Amino acid sequence: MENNNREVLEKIAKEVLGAKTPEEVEKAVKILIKSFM
Amino acid sequence: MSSLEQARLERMQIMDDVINNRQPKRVPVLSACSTWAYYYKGYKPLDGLNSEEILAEVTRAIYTDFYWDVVDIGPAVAHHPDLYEILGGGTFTFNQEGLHQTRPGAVNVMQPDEYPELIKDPYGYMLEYILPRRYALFAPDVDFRTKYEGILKVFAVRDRIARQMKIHNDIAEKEFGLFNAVNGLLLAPVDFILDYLRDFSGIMQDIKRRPEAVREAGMALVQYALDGVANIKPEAGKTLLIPMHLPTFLNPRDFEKVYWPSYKALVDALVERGHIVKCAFERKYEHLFDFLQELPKNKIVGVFEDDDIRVVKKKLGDRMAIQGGLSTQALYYASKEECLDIVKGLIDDLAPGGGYIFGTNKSMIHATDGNPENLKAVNEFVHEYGVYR
Repeated sequence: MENNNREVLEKIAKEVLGAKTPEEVEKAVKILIKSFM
Repeated sequence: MSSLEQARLERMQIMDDVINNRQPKRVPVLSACSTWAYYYKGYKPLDGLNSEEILAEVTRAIYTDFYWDVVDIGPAVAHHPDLYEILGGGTFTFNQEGLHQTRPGAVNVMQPDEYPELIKDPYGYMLEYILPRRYALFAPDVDFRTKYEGILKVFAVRDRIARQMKIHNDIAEKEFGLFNAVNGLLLAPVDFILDYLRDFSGIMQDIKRRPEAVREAGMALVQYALDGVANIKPEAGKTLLIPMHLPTFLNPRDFEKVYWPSYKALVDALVERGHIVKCAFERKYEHLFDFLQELPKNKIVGVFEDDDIRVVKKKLGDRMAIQGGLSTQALYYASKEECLDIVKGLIDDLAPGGGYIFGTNKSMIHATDGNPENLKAVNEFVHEYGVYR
């Protein structure tokens, strides 16, 4: 089954963490992944 | 300048001297007084998890009743049961008193044949494989909205935890002139695999059956570890802490093959960025002292738990600062006179030349990690006797 975790984290990155550019979104997603480990 | 601010600046200078392995004005007395503080005041750690007032009360109590120069770890805790309830899983569970411990069977969520994926893309691997296995919230059948709202709830709990940390740090600094000497915490790459991916039996099997994969995964995780402290700037008197878990169980040959390459690369990178690195060498490390001598000179603080600290001083004292010396067991079970004898010997043998931080050999977590009368006596003794004349 396809997982939507990346899409959820990207939405959080944009709407909550304020990431705007693709680079900022990618950086924020990495921070989020790390924060759950 | 207030006398409190003056005291804080003096302590910062003392710590900056000592962590750079120089001789300070006096031997600093370091607090690793964690959740023991709750028992000292008749509470349980659980009481503090849910009450900022109780956290503030026990914080003021331990900094009023005992002498300290600096804090490594305080009563505020970076975990909360609500976090793992929202996420639906995780590696920690909490006992009835509110102390967190590793949940049996929760760590080993990585298959041994997945090392190539981990090595190729650590972040992608965590996202695709580990998060859905570890947390119910990230499972494939959970809808988008539930995940989004769940993460916002996690953020709210983290805000509460951050507020507790700030309450502790503000009281320590503004009311007692004490600063927190640990600027950040990170794991050595192979310890990350042990603690969060493979657990002990898993990684020990991997070291026997696929040591190259463990070593390469460690190297792939160096940048991952550095990313976690990228925004932390070096500060006088402060360190980055690496608690070390696996090496005590490894023979020198396996340590050199699988653990040392990524650990050394990580430490070198941190030192290159201007940090002093505090390594908590948990349990015994004497069989690995030859390696520790190769760490960057005078850029390491070693916290030694079960090694003979006089042997440490002899073998490593010209290379790194040394912290510890008083076992929590002695602090609890020995008499006041015995504790004072132990501590006088520590100052006599370890203080000459500088680079010695007095403290317990590990964090004070449980009620049996120290007797208040002994703690009061030894801290005051070191404060007076540990002055360089």
